[in-house]
Amino acid sequence: MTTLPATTAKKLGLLIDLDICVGCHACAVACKEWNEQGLAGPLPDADAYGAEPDGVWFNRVHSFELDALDQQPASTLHFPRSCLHCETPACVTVCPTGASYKRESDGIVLVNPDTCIGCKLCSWACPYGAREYSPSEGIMKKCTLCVDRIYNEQIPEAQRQPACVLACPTQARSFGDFGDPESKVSLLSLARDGAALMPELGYQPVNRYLPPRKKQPVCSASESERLQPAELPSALRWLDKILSR
Amino acid sequence: MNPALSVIFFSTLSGAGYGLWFWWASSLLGHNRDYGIKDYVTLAMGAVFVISGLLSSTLHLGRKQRAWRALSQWRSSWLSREGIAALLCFVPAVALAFTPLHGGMQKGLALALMALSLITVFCTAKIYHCLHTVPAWRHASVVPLYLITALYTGGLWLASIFAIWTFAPALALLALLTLGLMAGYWRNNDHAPMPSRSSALGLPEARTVRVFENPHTEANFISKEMGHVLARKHSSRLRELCSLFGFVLPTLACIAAWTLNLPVLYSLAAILGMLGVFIGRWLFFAEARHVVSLYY
Repeated sequence: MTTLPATTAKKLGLLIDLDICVGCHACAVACKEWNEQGLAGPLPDADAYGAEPDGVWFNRVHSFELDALDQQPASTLHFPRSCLHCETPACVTVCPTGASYKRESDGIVLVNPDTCIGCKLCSWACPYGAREYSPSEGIMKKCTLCVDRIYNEQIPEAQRQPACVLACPTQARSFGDFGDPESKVSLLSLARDGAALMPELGYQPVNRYLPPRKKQPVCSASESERLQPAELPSALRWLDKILSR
Repeated sequence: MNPALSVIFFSTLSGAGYGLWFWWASSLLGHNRDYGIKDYVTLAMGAVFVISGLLSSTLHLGRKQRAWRALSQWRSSWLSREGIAALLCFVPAVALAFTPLHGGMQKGLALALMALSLITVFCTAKIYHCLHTVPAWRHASVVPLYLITALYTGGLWLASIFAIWTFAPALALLALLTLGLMAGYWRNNDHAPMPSRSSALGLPEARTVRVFENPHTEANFISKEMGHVLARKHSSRLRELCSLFGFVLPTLACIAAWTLNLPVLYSLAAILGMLGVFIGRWLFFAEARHVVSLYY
């Protein structure tokens, strides 16, 4: 049913720290590798080794340039983009067949591949570009939050996390229950003002992004070249005096 | 947005069909009359438009054989509601065609056909109007524009079949109203409020953000489906063509048909009108910006 559950027992989602993400795309590659098989698979590619490769990915890493602002220096920002498992996802309510649904038990948004007709309206309804169409299968695909890993009793408990979280070399990604105020992700998000993306659209995304920390102001080159002899330790002040003759 | 031809054909063709059925059914509300050949031509032409539109809309489905499933989610989905309303229209249409009764029964069926035709077009418009991801489509003119466009194109076809002189001034008025609404929509489209890129990235303060590197080297589904830029480049030229073919020329043709007593010009008006409305509907999709474009 594409009507949404009034509440979900858990709100599973990802916390992504934009301060430490280095834009290595390991999460995107690990996602593609895991989801190529199993529940979500296949994730087909067309012309994979040709001139114009084209394929389905659940996770895309963008890189941006931020201009300097006040004391903040200019910087790069690496931004992994995937399904935010929203609390009020219009991608689910617009679905005419009931193939898109939000789970009452944990809030994960999924597509039933057996009833999807491939009308693509859900991809139009998603502000975050999280859904990608698979032309070879004629159906819509999306992030499952690795539902076939996180509950999988066949793999060691430590590995029951989404593939993207396990792959991240800087631990910029964490997985947990945002419905539990004491969970690690909730506490981290609270401490660092975790942001919901485009909250004005009213989708109430579950995933949170930790904004980059404030950087130290850097002094300009001309400023650092100007020597202040009075601030030097006495030995260097003496050296400066000798050499300046 | 990607202007999928199947969807544009669907909404212009079936819109004209429902408009035609609406006007024809309204003609049954007055004094009782027997059907002539023109009544059957009208019903059949409406059916051809509606059915070819509906078939065209299934062309862009990835799994056409599952299309029947789209009728199940009427509680939340405007697309599902549209499908149901579109099929329900055939009940009064078929009943009117095969049981030419007089009196209350016929008038009741005619009223049902009028209401269901408008409801179907209303649902079509709501599919787009309800999407918060395309700010231009949230404008108040979108639903009235779909409705009046259906009535205008349907009216042009009715005039070309019946060729009654009073149609010319009525159609000129409808053309003026439709074009006025469309111009209002275009003005809104150029100034539709987009969220900021900072908001899309979760940054606490408004900062100047530029794309440094895209996630993929080639186009992907998102950039092909949501990132259509051709129309915005040629927007003013296409809007002029839409106004000319859709409204100015058909109005002149209708007035000429009336004053020169040349009913064939009504058919010319209908064909030109459809062409212009088709351009307008293409622009409706092709010009609209999706918020996901903030990431690119």
